[in-house]
This record gives sequence, C-alpha cells and structure tokens, in this order.
Amino acid sequence: MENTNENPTKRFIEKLELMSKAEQSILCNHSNLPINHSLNGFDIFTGLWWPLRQKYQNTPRRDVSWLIAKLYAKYPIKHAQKDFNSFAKLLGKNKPKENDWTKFKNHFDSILNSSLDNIEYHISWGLSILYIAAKKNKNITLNWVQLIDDLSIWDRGKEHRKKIQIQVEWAKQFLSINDSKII
Amino acid sequence: MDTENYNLVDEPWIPVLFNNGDFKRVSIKNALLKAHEIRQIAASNPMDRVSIFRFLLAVLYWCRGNPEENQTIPEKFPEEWLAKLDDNKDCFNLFGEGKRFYQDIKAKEDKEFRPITDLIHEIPTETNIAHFRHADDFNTGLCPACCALGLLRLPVFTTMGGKGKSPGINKTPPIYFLPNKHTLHESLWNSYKTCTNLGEPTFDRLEMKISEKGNISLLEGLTDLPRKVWLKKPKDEGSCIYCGQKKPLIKRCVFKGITKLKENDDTNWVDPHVVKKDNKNFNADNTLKIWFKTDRPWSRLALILRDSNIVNNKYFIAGFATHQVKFIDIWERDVLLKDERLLQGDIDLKNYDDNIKKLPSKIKDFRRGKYSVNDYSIYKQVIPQIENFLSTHLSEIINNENKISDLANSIVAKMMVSISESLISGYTCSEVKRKSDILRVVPYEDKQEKNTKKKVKSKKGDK
Repeated sequence: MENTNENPTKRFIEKLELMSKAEQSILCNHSNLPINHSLNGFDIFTGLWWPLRQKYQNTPRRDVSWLIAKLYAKYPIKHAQKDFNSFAKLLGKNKPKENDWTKFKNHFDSILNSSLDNIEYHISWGLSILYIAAKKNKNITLNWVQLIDDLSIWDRGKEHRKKIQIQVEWAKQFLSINDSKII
Repeated sequence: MDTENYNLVDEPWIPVLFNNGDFKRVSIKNALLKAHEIRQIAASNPMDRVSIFRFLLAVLYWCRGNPEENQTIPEKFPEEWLAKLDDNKDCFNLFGEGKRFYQDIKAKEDKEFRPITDLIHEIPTETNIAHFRHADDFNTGLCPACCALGLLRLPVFTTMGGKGKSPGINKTPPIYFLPNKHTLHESLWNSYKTCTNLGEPTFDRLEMKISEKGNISLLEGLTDLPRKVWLKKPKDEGSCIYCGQKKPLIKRCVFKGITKLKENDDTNWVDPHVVKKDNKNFNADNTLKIWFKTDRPWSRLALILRDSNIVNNKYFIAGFATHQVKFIDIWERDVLLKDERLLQGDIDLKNYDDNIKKLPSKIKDFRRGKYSVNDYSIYKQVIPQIENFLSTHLSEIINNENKISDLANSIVAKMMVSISESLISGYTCSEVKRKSDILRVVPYEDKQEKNTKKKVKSKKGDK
C-alpha cells in the first residue's frame, strides 16, 4: 500500500546513494546515452526506478530519473535537502573570479536555454564544478531531490509552485535575486 | 406635448437625482422647491451639471435678491421666495412668438440656419470626423428639454467661434469649482452670498444687449449670452439624439455670434466659481498638446488646489479643455478640501511631471543598445493606469493624508512588472537581471539609494 507520507523522489536518491562502485561505473559509461543503449545500464536503472514506480504514482519521470542516475554516478556529491543548496544557488555561490565571470555566466545560460533532451552536457559541467568544491569543503551538499523536481518540470512552462518558469527561478537563484515579481 | 406653450418654469426638463435614488426630470420651480430632497443634478455631461447649477443660482438671486444678514440656512426654499417665477413666466417660454428663454427676438426673421446640434458640444456637426456619435445635420434633432440644456451651456462653455463669434464672459472656459454638499439645497446655499452688484439676468430681456464697459453685475455675468439663438419650432416626433426620448424634435435654429468690442473686454467681472492666480483664470490643460496622457489630468489641478485659498469644503470640479475652436475634453472631479493642505514648499508634487517623464529613460538604461520606439509605446500604455490611480487619490494627496511619492512609487512598481515582461521575454541570467533592475525603477528614488547607485560601478560582462 502506498505510504503517502513518503517522498518517492527522496527514496530514489537514497537508492542512488546505496549504489555500488561497479554500478556507478557502468552508469558513468552511459553519459549522454539513452537508456536502451546497453542491457547492463538498463538493468541497473530498472532496479533503481521500477520498484518505486510500482509503489508510488508520483515517482519522478523515467527520463529525468535516468539523467540523474547517470549524473549522480559521475558526480556523487552528498545529498542534503535544504533550502540553500539547490543546484543553481550553489553554482552561483561558487562562481569564479571576475575575469572569468562572463564565460561562467554564459555557460550557465546554456543550461537555461537547453531543452531536457540535451541538457545533460551542460548540467554535467555545473556538477563538475560543484564536485570539485565539495571535495575541498566537506560541508558542501547538494539538494538532489530539488534538482529532480526542477528538471521534471523543465519543459512544462509555468507549472512551478510559484507559477513561474523553472528557468527563471534558476536564473534568480544563480544571481541571488530575491525579487518575487519576476515571472 | 404642447410645444407652443412649453414653459421651463413648469415643464420637467432638469435631470436630477433624489436622495431616495429616484431619477427624474423636474421643472425650475420644483428643482428649487424640492432642492432639499435632491442629491444632485444628474446629467451625464459635467457641462450640464455646472450650467444648470449656475442657472438655478441665478434664478434664486433673481427671485429673492441678496440673502439677509446672518441668515441661517432654511430647511428648504420657501415657496414665497419663488413668487417672481410665477409672475414672470413669459421669460421662460422656449417657443412662441414673443419673448423666449435665452433667445434673441431679433434673430426671429433670420433665414440663415444652423443644425440644432450646435447647442451640444459632444454631438458632431459638419465636417468633424473625430467622434463616436454620428449625427446628420438638420435631420437629427433635440427634444425641447435638451434644447434648454444646450441653451444653458451658452454663458458657461462657449468658446471662440471664429470671426464675429466671441467667447463667453470667461473667454476660454475656465475650470469651475462648485460646492458639492449633501443636497442641491445645501450646495446652492453655499454659493448664495451677499453681492454688492446683483443686477438683472439676461433672461429678463426681450433682446440681447452687450454689457457696458467695466460694469458686469453678478446676474448679468452668470447669464451672459455670447450667441444669438432662435429655435425653429418642433415639427415631427422622433428620438432625441441627446436623451433618446421620443418627443417632437427641433432640428434647426439661428445660431449667430456677437462681436464684442475690445473695450468691452475690460470688465470688473469676478466669477464666483472660478479660481484665479495673478488675475488669470485657471483653464483646463490641452491634453493633446504634447501627447494624450489621460482623460483625468490631475497634477496641475493638485497644484492649483494646493495654492488656492478655497475654503474647507467638498467641491465638484469641471474642466473643459479646448484649443482655439476645437473641443478637446471635458472632465470632472469630486474633491474634499481640508484646511490643512500640502505645504506650499512640497517639492514632490511640483516635480511629479518631470519624474514621470524620466521613467522611459530610466528603463532604457537597462536595455541593451539604443532606445527604441517600442519602449516608449509600452510605457505610454501604462501611463493612463498610473495617472488614474493617482487621480483617484487626489483628495488624499492635497490634504496631506498620503504622500504622493509613496502612492506614485507603489503604482509604478506594479506597472513595472508588466513593462519588464513586455520588454524582456527571455530567461538567461542577463535578461533576468535586467528585469530585476527594471522592477526597481520608480519615479521618486530614495536619496540614499540614488547616491549608492552612483557609487556602484557596473561589473564587467554584466551588460
């Protein structure tokens, strides 16, 4: 029986955290590849996602879950569900020196301008920066649950709870703009 | 309807709203006898509200003379005060062969006719193309009641009409300030003050007479006629183009100007419902002069009210904007004035127009590249909303209950949400940052914030 108090997204992340090194390695080799690329990858993912799907109706989308599984395998940054450690916010806090700011901002804009189908490369870039930062500072954690939820509505316009496009919300978090009037 | 004997003392033609919510037309006599039951004159055009009020005041003075010293307001106007109306009914005949109301018997034999719609400013005639109501000269007509309303406008709102057509006694129609109390009775009483030079009204005369140089009495000024009119008798019944009622219609009239000699311009006329500064009347702005901002111009009016010595009272204010012979706009306001008004040194009100005009250039600062026509047109679309909001808070601003800077900033902030979305549609970091900056544009900047902005240098790559 479905336990409505449990968050299936959170359960999915917990499962990712329990992956073995071998499983992570296999998923790492599937960067930018579809789910049906190899049987090994398919099997691992099915084991992670399908039981949740059977149990919870609001399990994250398959394509988003596959994307996150690969990214987590490559950049296993510690998860913590806080308000201040969303992907965009963390990236904004870890911006480089002023000379490299334009390039950094443009790269982040590439994430915002991507569709879900080709976002993996750009998110991967961002996660690589955060992974390096997390290695230097063990206090840095990433809210993977928020990342999955945001990507789940990436191509769905203003379905965000604040009735705004998720890309706008990411830009605001990246720039640390608190203005609630930007829609 | 017996149009031959249509007499304004008895016939119901003045539109009024009673305190119990009833809307009716009443005669001159009933308008005054029941003034304590009447909430206000209920005309849709503010011109008629002003004209009818001033006419009733003139009738009150004419019937009763000056008020007695230290007289308190009676509960209602006693019938005996209006005995002169019944004794001089012939002054108020609209038709007939003899004396006619606000018409010149010398024009009776004139064969040069004009369409009757010349009496009503908002009905177009001849080659006027910019209008929303369509009329057919000499085919459309006015009912007798609406003709009377049109005639009443002559002393108050007649503009220059070209060669040989002088304007009314106030020349370019000024902004009129009428007391607006709980009943018509109280409002009239508020205007009914002792006057040293009462004189006689023009409706008491058989033919028109130009006032002598320098000597305009109150009643003469209130009823001064700048046009010679003679109404042709109504023939067919039809829908009146002004009120829509099915009545016998008047379709044509004699409507001629009166050439006043220049020396007659030098008069001692002081209008009781007009505010002056440096001996000049305040006129309504020509809102087409620069660009059509709004149908409720308020900032200049606020300055007039602030600087005037108008007493603590509630006022009905009407402004008729004209430009030479063109009628631009008519607007009205209800304003409550308290004694403690904005200080004369208030800079915010004085700087309002400049601050609002600077908004497009402030927005432009956050746009990439050159200022575009599109930016200005978007801004112009929200200006009426901003002006309307501030206009509805006019009384609060004047009476110092709300700061104009706070009100202006709050409404502009709301409008900036729409403007930023219209001007910048994307969601890259640069675009989101620009939207955020546009949202912070306000007409009245905090002085500290302004200095801080000057000190902060823009980051490289921010543009």
